[in-house]
Amino acid sequence: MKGPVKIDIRDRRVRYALELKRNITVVRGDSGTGKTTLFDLVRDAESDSDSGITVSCDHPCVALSNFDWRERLSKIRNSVVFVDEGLKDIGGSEFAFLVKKTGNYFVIFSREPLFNLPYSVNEIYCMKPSGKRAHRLVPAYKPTSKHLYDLSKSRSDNDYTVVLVEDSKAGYEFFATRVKDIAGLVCVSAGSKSKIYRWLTENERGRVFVIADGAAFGPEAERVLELQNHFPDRLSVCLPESFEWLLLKALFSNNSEVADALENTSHHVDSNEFESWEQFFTRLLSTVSASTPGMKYRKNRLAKAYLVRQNGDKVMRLIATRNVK
Amino acid sequence: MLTTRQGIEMLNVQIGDMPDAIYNTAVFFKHNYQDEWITDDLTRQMIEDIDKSKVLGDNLIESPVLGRISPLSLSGGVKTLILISKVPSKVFNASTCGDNCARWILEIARRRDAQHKKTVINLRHLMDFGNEPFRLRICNEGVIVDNMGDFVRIGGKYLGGAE
Repeated sequence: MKGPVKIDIRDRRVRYALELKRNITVVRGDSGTGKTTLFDLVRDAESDSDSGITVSCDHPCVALSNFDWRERLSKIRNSVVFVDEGLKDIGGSEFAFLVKKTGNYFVIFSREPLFNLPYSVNEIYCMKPSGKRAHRLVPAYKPTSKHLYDLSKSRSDNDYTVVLVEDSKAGYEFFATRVKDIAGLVCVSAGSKSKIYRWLTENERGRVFVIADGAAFGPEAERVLELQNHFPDRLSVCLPESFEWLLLKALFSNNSEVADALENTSHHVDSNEFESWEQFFTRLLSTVSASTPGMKYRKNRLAKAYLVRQNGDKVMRLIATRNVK
Repeated sequence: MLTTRQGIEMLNVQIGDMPDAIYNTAVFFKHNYQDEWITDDLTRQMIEDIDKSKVLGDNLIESPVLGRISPLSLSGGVKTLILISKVPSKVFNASTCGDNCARWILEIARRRDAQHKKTVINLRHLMDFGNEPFRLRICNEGVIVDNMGDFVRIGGKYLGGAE
């Protein structure tokens, strides 16, 4: 499936108007906002064509709950699958495997972080009820400028002492090279996105600028952003879509195909081919860079051209904050 | 002022996977709730605050969105709150509750604490207990915390996720 998917579901009392941009949308937030009602509407509409519920969507909408989910999900294709929070296996590897393999779009009701799924920090939503108008989804986390996710209203005026990156290969090589001549600043690789939280809690000195791939950081968002919220003097969190996205945006966006892919990514990413936008950006960068001498992108080893000052400046302009530039 | 007997904390939280906890609280509520639970004063307050609804009787609630409903159509969070309040012998998955339920979880624990009894819940996410002082024990390591910064810093590591 490609492209944004619009869904309008209503009965005599309530209406929901949703737009899904990617393959995995996670819905959480306060109780009593209508999440369960939405799931029930999908389930009842699916099970009874005379339910009195109207569903407007270009794809079938199906409701998945505890009973026989494995058998059902393995057969569903090209659909929007709503997953109830009561499904106990929601955090398991088997469920994640089928989410990735079947290529459907998923709306998952869960406050529990789903570490086996590659969902974006931007696709975590709360339900906003609105009286007589349609219920809709609002983002749980919104970036400010330069891809900073800042739950706290206060921010320190002090410089950073550590740039903490999730990557240990090309991304780390880039940022480590970039900061090595900045006094008082070092670059550290956490090794993976799931190790960022542990690093932050085990290294409580200094001021940290975290750079991670927002496109798949959803499961880590809560605990890392809440750390930032409660210790705003200690860290800032920068979540561009991915390191590859930064390179595409900074160095290849004069290519019209790239520019369109960055502007209208949803229309370009086929969920049957890519588990996340992160994978898509990696493939796109690998493809477009191959035709530019000396710029072929490889995740394991960054071509020297990316480390040239001028190119590095273009990348850093997208995220530069205080002494991280 | 918090009043706790030594050794019994107001709220005990087991973070992460807990096989003995009741995970699907909506199903448990459906098959176990009792009519008199609904007209209990604390329940009325919780339903009014969370679901913005008014209890009319044992089996009748007036919802501003859904009209007149049975207790089975209450939100998942309210069902879980009622279970935590009424079934102390079980541990319930409180990640079915939004942050707007947190103050009620603390209230239930406070009331039970006044009777020298424990309240234990299972959380699979970092519920926001707010900026007012609170006191809870993270059962995973027996640590007591009284603010969200410590709760996030200590509790977050038990959320799981392969490194």
